[in-house]
Amino acid sequence: MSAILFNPFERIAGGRALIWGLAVMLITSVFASLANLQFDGVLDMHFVEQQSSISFFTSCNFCYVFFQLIYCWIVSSFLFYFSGLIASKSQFRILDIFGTQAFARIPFILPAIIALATNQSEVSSKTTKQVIEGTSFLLTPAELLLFGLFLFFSIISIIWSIALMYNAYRVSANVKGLSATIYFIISIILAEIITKISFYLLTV
Amino acid sequence: MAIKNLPVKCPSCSAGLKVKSLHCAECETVIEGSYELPILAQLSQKDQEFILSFVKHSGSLKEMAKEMSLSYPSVRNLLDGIIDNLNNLEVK
Repeated sequence: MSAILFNPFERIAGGRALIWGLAVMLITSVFASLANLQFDGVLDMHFVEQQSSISFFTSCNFCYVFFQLIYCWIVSSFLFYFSGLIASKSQFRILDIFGTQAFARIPFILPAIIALATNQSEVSSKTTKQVIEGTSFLLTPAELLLFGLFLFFSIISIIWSIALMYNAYRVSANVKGLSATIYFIISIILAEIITKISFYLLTV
Repeated sequence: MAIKNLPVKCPSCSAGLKVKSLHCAECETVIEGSYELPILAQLSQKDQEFILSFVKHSGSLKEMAKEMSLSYPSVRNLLDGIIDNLNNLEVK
């Protein structure tokens, strides 16, 4: 069971993984946009008070969230592809890298659904207000519980996604042992930096 | 009848085994000498089956992946493992 959850790539890769990954990213974007949740980094998600300030996306929050997910996927996949070229002795297909990395982003649907179902955007606003203005504690016990639930599933989904990305990289590029770990860590850190800077520059 | 696996390594010292004697079941002729095992015969049973499957599928890893219910990169990685094993055997 754990093999299927954390390393489904022995069975699924290439075009099939790509289709599934893109389909789930699309659905994630729907839920996330309704919940005011955005993915402004490879491993990041934040609630936003307002719609995107990028003129192209101001009328379509869903479009912006989907663009974020796609952009993060493309940046991380290219970095895994290039590091695979360096680290791997084998020939591998770029389709397998991109397909499996798309599939590895499936766990992000969990926090998107929970954020919408539990109205976390509202909770996030209250918490931010409390921290900035130093006001008294505004969350009810029920809100606190639901926030805890959202936090729990967010952390689980990030950990799960990292595990999937690592196995996707390892299987698709046939990189083994310590090399796989080192190159994966370098690639994901670079991907996070590039995507964070890109989204910051887009909104400036 | 149980399928017997051809041993390729000495169980005592792990050195590679050689063929010393061949026997004809029809006319009882026995041939003795010292023959190297063919390199393919020195691979594990699983690797030999993979190679047979590879040839029967005309080298199509895609077809093999379908038959083995594995992903293409998984089959590719198995092939790369066998290539490494063959290279190591050739060096020895």
